Amino acid sequence: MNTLENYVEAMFNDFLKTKENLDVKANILASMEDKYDDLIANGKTEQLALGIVISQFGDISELKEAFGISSTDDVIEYLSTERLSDYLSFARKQACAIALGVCMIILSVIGPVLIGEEQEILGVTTFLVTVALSVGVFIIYGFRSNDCKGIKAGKYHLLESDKTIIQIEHTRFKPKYQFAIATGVIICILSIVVFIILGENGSESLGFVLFFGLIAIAVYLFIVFGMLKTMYNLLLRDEETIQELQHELLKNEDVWLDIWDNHAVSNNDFSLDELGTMG
Amino acid sequence: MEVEDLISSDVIRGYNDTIILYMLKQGDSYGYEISKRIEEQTQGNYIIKETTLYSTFARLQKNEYITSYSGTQTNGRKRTYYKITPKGIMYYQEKCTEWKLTKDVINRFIEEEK
Repeated sequence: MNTLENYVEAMFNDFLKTKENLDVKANILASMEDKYDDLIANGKTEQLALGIVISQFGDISELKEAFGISSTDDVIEYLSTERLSDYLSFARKQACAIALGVCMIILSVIGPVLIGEEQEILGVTTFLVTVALSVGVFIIYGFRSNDCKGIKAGKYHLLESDKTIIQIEHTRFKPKYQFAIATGVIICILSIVVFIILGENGSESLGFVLFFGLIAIAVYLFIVFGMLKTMYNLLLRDEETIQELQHELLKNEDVWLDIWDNHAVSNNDFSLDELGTMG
Repeated sequence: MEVEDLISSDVIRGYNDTIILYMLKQGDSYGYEISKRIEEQTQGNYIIKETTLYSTFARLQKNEYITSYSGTQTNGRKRTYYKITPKGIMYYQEKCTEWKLTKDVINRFIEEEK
């Protein structure tokens, strides 16, 4: 069946991704797949069935004529449902991975403290390995995020049905976001309190470990929810977010900066508008 | 393949509208079902190409002879259903009259075998 998909994809290669064109493409593919299934059910070999289906595709210029693909100005490009769900799952994974990476960097200082000064080499090694792992995560997700540039630049619109789904998800996300940010802030405050109390009671290294542990949890919440918020804003075409991201994409083609800027965007997000209202 | 050569798409071009409108007069339907019925009804003498089918739908829709709606999707495949409009029915009847006349005219130049 992949053959048919690739064939149709290739035929529609120079069609604009308008809703109308995507609909026709999907319908034609469905027709061809139905026909193929019928032929197979009637005892044709896969090879023969494919041949028949493709020979009955016709002439693509006929469609180009009917759909007048020549005028390309101010045509809205739509994001196909498939690419949308790819992007969604990537953006979610990316948010968790970046957040975990940052957490690991924060937690990397705990290793040497726990292991103690007697085994300095082991301590330093754990530190370096943790940092290296997180850098690896940043690089992998930085590269992969390049695939989504078009989406990040706000080039695409969502199909109506997809938009409704995303809007519903976004409405459900909002209270979770506020809860997560509030929790993060409370954890931050708590970490300082714990650090001071344990420090005064003489268990400084436990205080140190708990302090960084709690900070890491808070930072994880901030980054994951900050990035998810950016994702929803982008998909729902929040003008400010799109401009910010476009600016970011123009400013740096560099993967490294890209990653760090992602942080900057999500961090600014919560620190400015949320901490203010949280008061 | 020999089947497709029986009727060249050039000859039938002006009548794809008529064929599809006739099919939709029998009830709402979607792409593959229509093309399958055309094949059955002509005993395999005319198999409509996908591009012909869908550019005809587009043209008919532009002229408001048909409307479309998305139906339930079986096995995740897209199913856009088409429905004939009153305007479409009138156009179909005009095309029928036109064909009878055309057939009459052309027949005068066709030699019967034997």
